[in-house]
Amino acid sequence: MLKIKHFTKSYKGGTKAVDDLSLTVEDGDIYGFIGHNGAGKTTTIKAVVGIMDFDSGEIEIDGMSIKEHPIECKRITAYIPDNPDLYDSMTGIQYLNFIGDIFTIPKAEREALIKQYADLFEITANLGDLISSYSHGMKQKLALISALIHKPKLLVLDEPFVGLDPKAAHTVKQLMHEMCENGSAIFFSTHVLEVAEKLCNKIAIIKGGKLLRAGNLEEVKGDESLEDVFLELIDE
Amino acid sequence: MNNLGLLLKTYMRTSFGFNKARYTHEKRSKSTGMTVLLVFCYIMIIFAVFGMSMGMMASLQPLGAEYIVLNIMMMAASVMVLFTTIYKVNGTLFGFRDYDLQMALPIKTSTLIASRVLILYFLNILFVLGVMVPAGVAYAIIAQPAAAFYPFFIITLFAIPMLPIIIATVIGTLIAMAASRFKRKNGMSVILTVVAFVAFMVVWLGFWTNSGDIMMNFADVGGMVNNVLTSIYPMTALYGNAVGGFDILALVLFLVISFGAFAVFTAVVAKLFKKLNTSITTTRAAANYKMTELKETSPKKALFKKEMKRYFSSSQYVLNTAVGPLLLVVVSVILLVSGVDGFGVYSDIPGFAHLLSAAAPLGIAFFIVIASTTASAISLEGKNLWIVKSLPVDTRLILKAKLNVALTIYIPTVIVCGTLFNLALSPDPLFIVLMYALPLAYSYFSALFGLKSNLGSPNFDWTNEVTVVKQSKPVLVTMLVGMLLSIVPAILAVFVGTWVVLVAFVLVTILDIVLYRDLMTRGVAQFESF
Repeated sequence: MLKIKHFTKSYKGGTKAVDDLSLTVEDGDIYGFIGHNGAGKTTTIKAVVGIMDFDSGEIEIDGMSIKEHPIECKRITAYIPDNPDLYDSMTGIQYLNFIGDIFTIPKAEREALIKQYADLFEITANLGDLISSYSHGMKQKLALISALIHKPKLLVLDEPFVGLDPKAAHTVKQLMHEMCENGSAIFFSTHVLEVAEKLCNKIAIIKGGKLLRAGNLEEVKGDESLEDVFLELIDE
Repeated sequence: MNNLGLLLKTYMRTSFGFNKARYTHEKRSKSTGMTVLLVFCYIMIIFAVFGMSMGMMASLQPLGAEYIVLNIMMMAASVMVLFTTIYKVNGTLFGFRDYDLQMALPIKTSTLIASRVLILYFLNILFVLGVMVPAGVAYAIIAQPAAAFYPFFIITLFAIPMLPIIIATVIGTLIAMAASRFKRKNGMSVILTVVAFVAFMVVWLGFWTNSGDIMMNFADVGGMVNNVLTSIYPMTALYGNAVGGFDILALVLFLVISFGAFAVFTAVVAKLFKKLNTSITTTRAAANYKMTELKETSPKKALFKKEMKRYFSSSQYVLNTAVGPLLLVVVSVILLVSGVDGFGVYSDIPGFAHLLSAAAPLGIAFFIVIASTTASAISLEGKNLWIVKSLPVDTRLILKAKLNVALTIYIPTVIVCGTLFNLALSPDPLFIVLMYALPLAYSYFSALFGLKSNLGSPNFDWTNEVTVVKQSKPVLVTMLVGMLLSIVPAILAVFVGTWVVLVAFVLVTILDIVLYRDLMTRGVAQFESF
């Protein structure tokens, strides 16, 4: 579903944010991307979803290059940033309808999916209010709903559990499993290693822009806990 | 550095991009080019004020009343400061993005308020200097005043914007408080500010229309002009007595009133600041929504609707960009009601009606191009930029949606005002057509050039919309280029011939085509590189 091949991104000035990173996310994978602050996770994610240009390498989504076919790639991808700044001047329902229009989701399906997910995240009653009145967690939930209603093949999330209440976090994990059972793939960054260990079937560890280890969870961590492996690797 | 200095330094660092430019390695060539253009235009305005002052003072020299021109300039600067500060209050003094952060710091509330008012002061002082310094130089040359003039002039110079800022801040605060009582407070704030703005314009233009004869016979009735100015804004009398007559008491009063108003305002608002900010910024959440039928539209229309919502959600954005069209409507109505005769003694000049008809299309264009909605439309995406960038839509559609907002505002304005102008002036057939065609070509130019400028110099890290809506380089450059493109041919049309208007129309239409093609290729690439 997602192939990152020799991806390199430099800052103006020459410092490499990400250096020659390659990994593959297959259909049905829940792929955790871990690393300390400033390791290059968000840079990689932004390049994957087509909102940041990059110097060299190739990123393919469902066999299509993000550079050559950005619109087709974006149509099957959903992205939620770590801090979902949404349009404050819109109400929640206006924002979701806007996303529905852009992704040309049929009306009946759109209404049914919005209702289903808004009920699930318990924010239906708030959809008529301006987004400016929402808490961080509510914005996060709204962003999640906007990502789910167009049934993406690839879901890319940057720190998805920050700001979510425990119940919503649990719901998100369930939804991630359901999506993968239906053949979609999920690529997400996190600092919460316990979550990554329980949720993911594949893990990549990045440090200073370089990929230290990537693959099946069991291969990456061996007999140790993910936390031990991670700490060992980043201390090297 | 004391707390006030620290707060001001932080504002400068976060609002004007100097800090970002220093610590990142972004391309600076375009930004430098824009700075050069901006400085050039600022200098042009200084020279224009200087030339105008010299002319007016020369006509008053026989009466020894050259100081009246200083009074006029001082009043014009004060009115402009008042005019442009009202809608900056919400966002600068109240509801600014770093309010929570700054209020949580161990800093006195009065210091925080003083810093916010001083921000407004610094934003205005450059404009005041641009008007008053050339007028002062002209006065020094023509009137050759005693040495005492210089300290009086320089001391008062820095006090001029203070009182208008305080008055504007009080009006802006009242509007923000009234709007906060409504559910759609942003929309209400836009309506209330527009009403205040139009009321102000009607009074102001009404005054100048009635005083048309006075202005023409300037030298004969200099004293009368001064009386009118003084009755409208009493500070003019104090200023005139201080700078023109070296009256120490007038100087002291002028300074005490200006800075006293600042001190009183700061002290009073300090007591109410938290309460006012809370009531203005508190959002209403009904939390009673029930799913209803949704309306489906095409992606193109959805993007346009999103842009229109963005536009009307900000009183700063609306007011700053609708000022020209609003002013144009008022001028058109006055012209229709009073006709060419409304221009008083000017209408006796042979061929005046013909000249007016010839310059009128450029006049309409002038009011449209003085503020472009697109010059800040890219920067206003701010922290929401990730949304449009991650959508599966052609970037050209995103840019076209922004252009269409401008045209939605400009096209009806041009049609209505063009018709009013045609009815009032009854020009020949070519100019009847040009009355619509030329302003439309200029409108499109303003939209295209604004967008192009903003793509070349965007700012997504603003904490207050005013920074990008009013004080950004793309906005100022677009305004100044638009003004030059309408004023220069208008002057040429009067002196060289009315065919210049047709040439201007053809040239701007060609520029439109070139700019559009550039935007849809290089502009798209620029947007995608952010």
